[in-house]
Amino acid sequence: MIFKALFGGGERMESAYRDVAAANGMTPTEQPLGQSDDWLQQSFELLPDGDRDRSAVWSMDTDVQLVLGGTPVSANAAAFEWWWEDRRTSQTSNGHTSTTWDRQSLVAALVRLPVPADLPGIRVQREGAFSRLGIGGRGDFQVESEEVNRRYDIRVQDRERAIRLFDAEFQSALLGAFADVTFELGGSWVLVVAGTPSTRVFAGEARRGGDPGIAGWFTRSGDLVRNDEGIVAALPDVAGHAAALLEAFPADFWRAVTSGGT
Amino acid sequence: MWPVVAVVVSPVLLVVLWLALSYNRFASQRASIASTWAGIDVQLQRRHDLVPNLVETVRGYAAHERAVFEQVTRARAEAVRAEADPTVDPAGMARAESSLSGATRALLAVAEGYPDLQAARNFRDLQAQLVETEDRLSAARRLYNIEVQHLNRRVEAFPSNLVASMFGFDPATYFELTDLAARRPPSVAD
Repeated sequence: MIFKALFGGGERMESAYRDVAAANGMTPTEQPLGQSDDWLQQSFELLPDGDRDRSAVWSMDTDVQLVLGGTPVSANAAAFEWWWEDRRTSQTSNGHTSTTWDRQSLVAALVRLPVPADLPGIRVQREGAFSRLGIGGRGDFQVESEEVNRRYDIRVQDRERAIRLFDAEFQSALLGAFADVTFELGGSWVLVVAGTPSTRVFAGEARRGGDPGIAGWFTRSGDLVRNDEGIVAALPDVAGHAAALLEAFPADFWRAVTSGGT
Repeated sequence: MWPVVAVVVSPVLLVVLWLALSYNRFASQRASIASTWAGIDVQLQRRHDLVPNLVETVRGYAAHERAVFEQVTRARAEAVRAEADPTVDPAGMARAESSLSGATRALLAVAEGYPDLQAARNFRDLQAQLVETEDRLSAARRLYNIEVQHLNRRVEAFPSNLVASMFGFDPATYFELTDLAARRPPSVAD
């Protein structure tokens, strides 16, 4: 709330947030699916801690009906903006050190699957520049597709269960419909991050009312638009794209995570 | 004097360092292949243990289908023998396992003609265990083949092929099921 007061644009922003949520059948909430900032940050490495402060804002929850591996499933989903502050230190001309705080944010969707889903720990994100050059990038999980290996940094806790996610079709989807998607699984939770961290990701696209498509949402890393309405308008779509991603997971994977198979 | 020594020695040190790193990576890849192969072995063993129970259960309802039982028993014995024989390579084991998969599928096809058997809880449990085992085997096979793929690429590519030939790192054999239908697990009837 303090964040909203400082950065959020006040009543106009609050009103837009509630309007967008209502128009999309979503519920404005203090925290995504009732989870605290600490829990979110500690549960997902994709949500940076920052050097000073971080928080989830503009959270809106909804129920989603998914078909996972051919089985209809009801799940809870939330979309929100996650912001954090990084310290930047520089030397001034007179020899003093000055510290500034660089505020960054990303848009994410959180999905809670019904028990007995037991998702293995898997984190998928775009490969960093060093890893692409082969420096320090050999610890990640490899699949059959060299293109997927080149483009993604995949970290897994249980290789045998993880390999079931990356079947030929899903590997192809990672290079097509879900190109450059960033997500993290664990337990009964899924976090999908849209775009790369920046100030006001996607806001320009959302305000123009265009339909960038699933690949577009995940790859476009955003104009620097500082109008919060853009972020809020994008949230329902981000939740929708997370649901689409889950439905693209192979049936074999869902069979493994719901049967307790290893 | 020292700069001259440094100019001469540095490239040699770099080459030695590269050789060591490349060798260690080959050694690590070979260990990964052995480890993922062990994963396949566990699942094959599990499948070999399940098949006799499945045969006995089906026999209880369809005793006259002797030809199918004999086919499965023979294929299982061959697969067990191939698994135990250290001289049989992954390709040979894959052939034996493919035969067993084919025979097991024939057995399940026969079972479809017996509604009482289909309804038997014991049979359904065994069938579900078989599906799970096939899924796990498929995952283990893919993990193994990915490791083989990466090793073989380095064995063939320059300059790592120099290290491979120098220290005797040979290409590994893929574990590929020769029977295409056997790559897919049998489905469980609802």
